[in-house]
Amino acid sequence: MKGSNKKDDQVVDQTDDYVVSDFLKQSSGQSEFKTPDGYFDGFQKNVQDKIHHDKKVWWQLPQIRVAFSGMACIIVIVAIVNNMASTNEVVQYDFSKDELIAYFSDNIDEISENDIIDVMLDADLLEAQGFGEVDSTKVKSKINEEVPTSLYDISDEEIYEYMLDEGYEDGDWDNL
Amino acid sequence: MNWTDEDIIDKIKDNKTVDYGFNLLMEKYQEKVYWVIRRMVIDHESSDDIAQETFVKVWKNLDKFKGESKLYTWIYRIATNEALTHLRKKKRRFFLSIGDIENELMSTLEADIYYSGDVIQLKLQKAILTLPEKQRLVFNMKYFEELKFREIAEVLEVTVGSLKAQYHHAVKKIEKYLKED
Repeated sequence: MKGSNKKDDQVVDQTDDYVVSDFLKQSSGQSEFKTPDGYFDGFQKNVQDKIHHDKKVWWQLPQIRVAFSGMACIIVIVAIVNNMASTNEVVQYDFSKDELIAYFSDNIDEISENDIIDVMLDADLLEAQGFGEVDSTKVKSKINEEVPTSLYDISDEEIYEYMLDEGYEDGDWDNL
Repeated sequence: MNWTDEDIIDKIKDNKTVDYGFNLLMEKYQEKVYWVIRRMVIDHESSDDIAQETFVKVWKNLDKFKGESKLYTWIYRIATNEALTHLRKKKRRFFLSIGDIENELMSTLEADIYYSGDVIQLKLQKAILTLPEKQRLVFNMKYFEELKFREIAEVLEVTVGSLKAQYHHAVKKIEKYLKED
């Protein structure tokens, strides 16, 4: 009984093998996959477009575009910084001392003495007052040390000389 | 007119007829290339992209084709490499194991609107998808594309003996899968 069962199983296996092999043989070369209608008609055009697109727009690649944008930004920033620096230079250094003196001489009526003193360097101020060439750093420290002169610091002789220079005669100022 | 590979190569080598030659090449091989790719990656959209990319690569490398191998084996080699690269990228991108990629391809197949196979054919496709990539490629080229072992050996740059062994194993696995279910 067992033997006949084994034989039956073998027959079934062989039949299965035959069916599977037969199925594989029959299906060989057949395709159940499909494509959209007219797909292969437009295939060549798509490939040609891709080839010519790749040729034309290498410079439009995202990496290239990012690199160019970055470089443009850097150039703009550098230009702005340079421009600002040169503007400052104009304000600070563009006028020479002679030009400033010439300007103040021309507009002397409109500019008060205090304005002129404000814009003059301390060293220039002393130089203009007849102290010769003076080191500006020393002058600064000296100025900081100096106490403003008061009326009590001026002697009677000095007052007398000043009054004579101003055209007052001896004794005139007793009536002032 | 049936253009031989030699005629097509001659046209491509001539600067005046290079475009025409390349169109002839595409006309002759576009379908074969597409089907080899389609059976590997299953879905139409990916197959379309890879097939187009294959021909773009063929165009870019035409000057490197020295005629040492046959034109169609050279084109098939580019196509199969592109298909295998696509599958590897997919695995890496989605962190898929071999089993997961099989399942993913099976799901794609079942949902593919451009697949019209009946239940038995679908089962056969599922059986094929259980094969390792290289074995699947060999089986498809032999079974569906009906290439000779010698031609497949040229494309994949392996010996005919190892190909026959791989194909035999593939058929046995598929038969087993079909009988089991």
